[in-house]
Amino acid sequence: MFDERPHPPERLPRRAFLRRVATIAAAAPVAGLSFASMPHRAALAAGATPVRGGVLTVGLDSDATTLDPAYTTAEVDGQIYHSVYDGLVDVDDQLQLVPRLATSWRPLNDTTWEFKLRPGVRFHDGTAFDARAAKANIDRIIDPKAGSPRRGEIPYVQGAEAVDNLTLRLHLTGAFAPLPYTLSGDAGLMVSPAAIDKYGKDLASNPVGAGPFAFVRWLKGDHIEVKAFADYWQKGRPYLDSIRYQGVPDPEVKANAVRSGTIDACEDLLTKDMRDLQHDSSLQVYAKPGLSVASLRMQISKPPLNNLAVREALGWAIDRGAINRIVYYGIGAPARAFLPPTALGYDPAFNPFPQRDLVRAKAKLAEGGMPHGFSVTCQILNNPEIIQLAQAIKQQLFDVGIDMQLVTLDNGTLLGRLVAGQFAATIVTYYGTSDPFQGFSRFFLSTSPLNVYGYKSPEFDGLLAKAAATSDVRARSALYAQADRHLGVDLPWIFLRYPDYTQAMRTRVQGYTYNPDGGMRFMESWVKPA
Amino acid sequence: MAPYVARRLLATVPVVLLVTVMVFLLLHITPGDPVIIMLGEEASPDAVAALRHGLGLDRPLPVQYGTWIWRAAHGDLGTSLRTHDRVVALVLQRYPATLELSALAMLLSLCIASPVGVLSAVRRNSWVDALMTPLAISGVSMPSFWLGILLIWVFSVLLPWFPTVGFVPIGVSLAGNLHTLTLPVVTLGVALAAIVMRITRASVLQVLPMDYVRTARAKGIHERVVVRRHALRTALIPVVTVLGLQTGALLGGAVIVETLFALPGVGRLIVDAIFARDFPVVQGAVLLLAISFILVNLGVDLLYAQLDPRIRYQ
Repeated sequence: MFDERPHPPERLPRRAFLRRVATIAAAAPVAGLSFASMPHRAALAAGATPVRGGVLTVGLDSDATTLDPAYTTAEVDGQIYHSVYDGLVDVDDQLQLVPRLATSWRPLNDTTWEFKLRPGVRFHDGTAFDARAAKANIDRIIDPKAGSPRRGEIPYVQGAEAVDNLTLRLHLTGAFAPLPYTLSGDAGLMVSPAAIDKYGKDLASNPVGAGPFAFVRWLKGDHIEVKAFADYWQKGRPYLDSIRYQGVPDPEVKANAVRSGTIDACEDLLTKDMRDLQHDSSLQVYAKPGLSVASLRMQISKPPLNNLAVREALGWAIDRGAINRIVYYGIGAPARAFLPPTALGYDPAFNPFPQRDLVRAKAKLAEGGMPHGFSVTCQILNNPEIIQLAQAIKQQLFDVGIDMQLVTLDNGTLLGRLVAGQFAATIVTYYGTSDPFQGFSRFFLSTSPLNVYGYKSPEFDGLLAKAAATSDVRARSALYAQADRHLGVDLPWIFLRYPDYTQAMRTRVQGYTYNPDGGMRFMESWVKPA
Repeated sequence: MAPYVARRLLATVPVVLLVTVMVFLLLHITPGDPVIIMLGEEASPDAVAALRHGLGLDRPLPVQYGTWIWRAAHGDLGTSLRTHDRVVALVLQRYPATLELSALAMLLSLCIASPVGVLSAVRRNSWVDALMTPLAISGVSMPSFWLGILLIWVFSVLLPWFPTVGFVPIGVSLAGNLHTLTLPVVTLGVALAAIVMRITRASVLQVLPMDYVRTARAKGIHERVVVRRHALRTALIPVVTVLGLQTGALLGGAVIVETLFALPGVGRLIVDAIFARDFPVVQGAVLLLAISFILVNLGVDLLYAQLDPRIRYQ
């Protein structure tokens, strides 16, 4: 039974938690940054009393695409959802589940989950939040006719049941222990059922949630404005009067905008700008481990990359540390396997390629029957940082006789070829989720239609099936670690680096806590008066 | 003049049709599937197929084009694949910012270029001319994205006079609107000013030795009046022609400036839509820009008669 704080639900065991913190701390110096330079909410808020009022301007990578969480496919939309919507559950800054609109949750059996809902919650339009409202949201997502991309995120959920006013049951087709983690994403966000009926597809421009801020206006292509919701269920929150989300597509301009104070906060900065920003005393700059992994993905069903020894040669020939230092200015960390240090199941003891070893790389090429190397085409995104990364890898592979030819493509074309399996190799970053089941199952499960890499491992499939049926987080984490080890050994992908999430805030922004999932949550934030 | 205008407007129909066919074909020939871009690499094939069917993208291309052009003829440009907004509303919502940006950039360029160009011509080979020529060449040579970042660095970061990004519609606050548009307008207007200045200089130089100017001088009219009322008026014909043609370049430049300063204009809408392969939005926005370009150049042709009394439209 998971219950509300102060008995936090699904907390990591203390030892695992300490290990994870130690790992993140160890990764920070590698990243060229120290924790001393990274502000923390406690440090910033020490001795300071939150002040009510004020407007925060947040710079986003682009304008939003839709404010209806059932239909979003853009990362940027999620930043606004953190203000407008509340979900059944959320994750905190340690990626542990915390209650939001659900106060507790538990599996009744392998295929039924029960969620107790928070009483006294209202949506921005005055509609009461209850089990029927929650059911309407789940029904909307899983309805095949609705075509919601969220349906694929909770594929095991076949129905929702409002047992009483404050009890929701989800019926599954099979065991799926990571369900609460999955519902901490967009799939678990609650929209006013009255607004769903009223606006239909126009909900995309008229969002009505139960979050700390209510939607005010959207000047398309420019900004979205939200204001504090007076009847928010968490009394006394939020502190801010309003937030203005401003699209700033050019990363250089974004850095200048936060420097000049045109915007108060932004994310996803260029690593080349980070050092300058860190030296700006008017800014707090975050470069911290997230959930992403950048990898060289390969078609391992076709020669020459179908040969494990050849893939191992790639693993030994690539100098991940040098790439991270030179191309990314030391921001981020060299990758070991699929799971980054912040993810459930990360095993710090596992490091299949601790350092570059050209002798071993050449030996592995010879073992794979390619002593003189080979030629391979790698399709990459037409993005300056990715191109630099690919060129560094090309140079390093050339040292062992591998000729990696680079083809740059725009995002749409690359994505199309990736999904269709029309590639030999490609470099792509995967933005992970708090529970890694989704990434594991989609990319590496033998039966997954999204496994376009040709990876088939009955052992891996078995571990994942076990993880799906394992509610205990510690046990599931151990299974994930084993699965990750399989990937690190079988090498369907060559794991390159764990990028840090980067954010910059003006120092007047107080009470902000960085979350490794990259979401900027401002419910506890306030602005220091000038 | 009315029959001439009618003929010209009628002639725009095949041009516009050709533009729509070309944009449609180019978009569909370009690799990249809007559905995959929308759903991402983690979407199941079923979800991809369902959305593709829902959006009508699984129908043959001629059918898709035919449907689009039929609806467009009735004022319906369809809905955005990505945001589900009506394209007409989306484009019209973004058009004022682009129109204002381009118009102000053109006005700025005229305000700078006309007097400087005339002065350079009248005082040919003087220090004014020697100073203005390299300045004009610098203006033409400077890429707008570089100039924009430079202006942001100086006038937003070092001197916090103007906002880096953001837009205030003219209906909300005129002062706020001009405040947010100053840097973008200067960025866009500088290159145009340099071109217009060079054209004005060359054109005035060509007109000054003409007989009617000599006659005006022989009448004892003051040189300033000769230049302003006699020479400049005729000299403006090539300038106006260039301005008309530069509308296209201005709209193209607006794409970069709007992206740089995060302005909600049609240029940025098109760029975003191209990357998302949002076909209806690209088609609708390009259609609007093509019509704008054609109308501006029709206006330029009509202006010739006002500038030069010898020109008459039959």
